[in-house]
Amino acid sequence: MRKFVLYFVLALAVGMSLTACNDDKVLYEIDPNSLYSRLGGFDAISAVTDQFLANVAADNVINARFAATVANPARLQLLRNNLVDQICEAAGGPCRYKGLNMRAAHTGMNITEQEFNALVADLVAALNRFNVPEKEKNELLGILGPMKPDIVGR
Amino acid sequence: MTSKWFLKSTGTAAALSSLVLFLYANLRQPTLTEQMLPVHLKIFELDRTPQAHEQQAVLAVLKQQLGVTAVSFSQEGKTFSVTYCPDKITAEKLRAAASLNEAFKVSEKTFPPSPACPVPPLDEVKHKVLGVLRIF
Repeated sequence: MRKFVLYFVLALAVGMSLTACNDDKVLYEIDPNSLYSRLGGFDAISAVTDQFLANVAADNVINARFAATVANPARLQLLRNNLVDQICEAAGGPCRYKGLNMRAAHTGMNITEQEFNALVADLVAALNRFNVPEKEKNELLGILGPMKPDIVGR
Repeated sequence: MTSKWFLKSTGTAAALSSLVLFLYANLRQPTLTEQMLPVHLKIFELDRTPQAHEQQAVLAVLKQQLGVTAVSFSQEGKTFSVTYCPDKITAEKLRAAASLNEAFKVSEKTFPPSPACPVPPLDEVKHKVLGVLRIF
């Protein structure tokens, strides 16, 4: 019995210490002038991301690329979480992108310039759907644009 | 004696690991993205290209459905996609709603195999295991 209590306390201590870590920067003070704040915060970014995913799925230029993701809810959830984290972090929000780097994620896919441009157009359409002002839209695209060499032709 | 000791320590280690994993799944503070309601995504196809007012009607009826988070039509208009919370609405109900009382035949779009973005297998397993273990 004493051994069991000892093991339980040990497990509790390990569990507690593990949970002391958090993947998000929860203590991060959000700058009210950051792009994250100007976009409307986390809920706005997740709403734009859902619209972006819907746009991509309806886009016959690129939707075949996402067939496996659409068919598998676990993959879809990871892609959605990664997209939200990526946009949120890039905009100065309290998230941390935990996915593969862009080059590793797209190597072997042979993504064309036309497909990349279609994806960007789908993102712009999602931002327009939520009336994101031109300044914020360009700022976000300016952050994501430099990823192109790691995505196209890999 | 040795095999008994081996069985006992293996059992204890397994029990302890399970307990730690259970505690980790339930006490760890989920990230912002992990707190989002999960969504499913379906791609549907209409049996004919809708006219502008018909497309607007399909969009409107889908957006009214509880649990729908986004709807999008393709440029040519026959394909549309919906992101929705599976706890609130099913794909079958979406398909029925989009048919506008059988004005259209709506089917799920299928694709030939194509290279997809790789998802690290460990991420997928972690996501599933933590999801199953989390009860609080």
